[in-house]
Amino acid sequence: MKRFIRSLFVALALVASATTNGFAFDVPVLHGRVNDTAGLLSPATHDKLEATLRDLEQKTTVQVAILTVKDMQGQDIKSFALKVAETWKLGQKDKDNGLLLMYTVKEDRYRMEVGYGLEGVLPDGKAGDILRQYARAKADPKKGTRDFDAAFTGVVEQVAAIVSAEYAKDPTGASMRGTKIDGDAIWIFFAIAVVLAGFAGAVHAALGGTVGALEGAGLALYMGWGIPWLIVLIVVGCGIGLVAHFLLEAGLGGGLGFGSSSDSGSDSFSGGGGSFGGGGADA
Amino acid sequence: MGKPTVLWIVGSVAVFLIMLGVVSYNGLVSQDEGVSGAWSEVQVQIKRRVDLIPNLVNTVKGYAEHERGVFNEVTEARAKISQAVKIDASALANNPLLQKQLLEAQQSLNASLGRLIAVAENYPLLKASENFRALQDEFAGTENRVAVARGRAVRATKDYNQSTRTIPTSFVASMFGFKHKDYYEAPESAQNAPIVNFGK
Repeated sequence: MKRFIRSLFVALALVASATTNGFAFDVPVLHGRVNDTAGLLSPATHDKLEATLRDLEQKTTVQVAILTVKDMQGQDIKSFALKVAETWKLGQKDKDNGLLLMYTVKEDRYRMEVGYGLEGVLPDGKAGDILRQYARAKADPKKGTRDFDAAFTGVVEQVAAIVSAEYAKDPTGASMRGTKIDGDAIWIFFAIAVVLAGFAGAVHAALGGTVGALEGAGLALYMGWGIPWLIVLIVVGCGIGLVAHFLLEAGLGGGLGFGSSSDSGSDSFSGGGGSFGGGGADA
Repeated sequence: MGKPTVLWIVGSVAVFLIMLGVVSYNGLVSQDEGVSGAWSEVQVQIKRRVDLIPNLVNTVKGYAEHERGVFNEVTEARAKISQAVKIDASALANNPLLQKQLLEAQQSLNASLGRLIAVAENYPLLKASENFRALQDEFAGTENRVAVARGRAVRATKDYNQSTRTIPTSFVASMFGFKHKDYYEAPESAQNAPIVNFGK
């Protein structure tokens, strides 16, 4: 029986992992708003840009990230920037208001990848214009200018000014943050689900299993997760339902301490789930 | 095992199977819709590109009135593709031939736009004008959007096809007639070739 359960879990894990697919090349790890992997910026500029972009996000929810790379290994900057922006999920999920500003040293290209939600305020022509006037004008290695501090600062100031002006006109855009269910809420739902299954299980163990399985199915349906998760959650829910009764009886029900582990206070930066459609410009 | 226990087990299994069927069916429907939606997005982006053309033509005309040939060429290519973007997206999603026609119409439009840009490059005043540069950005941007939308349409089709062939959705797919979708995938060279070098 033990071996059966173990092989069942291995099979489920395989099913679940088979549905996730990766990108063909490694997208740089998101370290913060400014990801200067090519080392073009001075520490002072780095910190200043971080602060400016953090303020911008607090005011407008718009997420802007900067990336410099040494070499794209033959990749086209348009597809490279899109993959990075998609992987980092810049911008809020419901507003797609993310923007990636990148530069690649070997290919000497700037690119501004604009999220769906910002295409209106930053049409491609405007994006290209900003890159030419503020980035190319200050740092164009072929012409011997290399002031990347000024280039990135200039572009960021322009973008921040345009976005802030737009949000001042439409402040409703600023109030929609955090549509995700936070960690604590999930644990409370989980506790309620276990207690329900436990009551059902007190009537009959199989009833507890059924309730647990239904709860698992309901969760998968509600979240819109795929079939592999549906199966996993039904099986796990059924299992929990079968034993929930005994868990509750043993007095664990009241004693389960659900520790909260939210780190919202820290300064970590991660994408909000925004989408990109290839808008933007390069120069 | 008493009678009630057996009933509970049978009942649980039945509920499980029904749930699985419902989720499979809903998943297939939404993936099917997703493929049509992705193709409709391709059309939207091509339309957006086509809508930019009069603006570009007029801008170039302002400086290069006599270059009649290239203007006619662009206008013809535009008329051809305007037909192709009016096709129903779900028909497009299920017909690789229509997809091929749309892509070819787009490529010939790109080629004629490339010649228009090349003509424009001969006029330094036009080349330097802010309006022309912004238009070039817009064209490069829409070209990229079309490429992104096409890539996503192909990916959506592949995902859908995978669902129609993998357990357990394959059972539901064969029961309710969700068929494998063929699609036209452009040869790699044609996809990546910068037919028009915008934004230089």
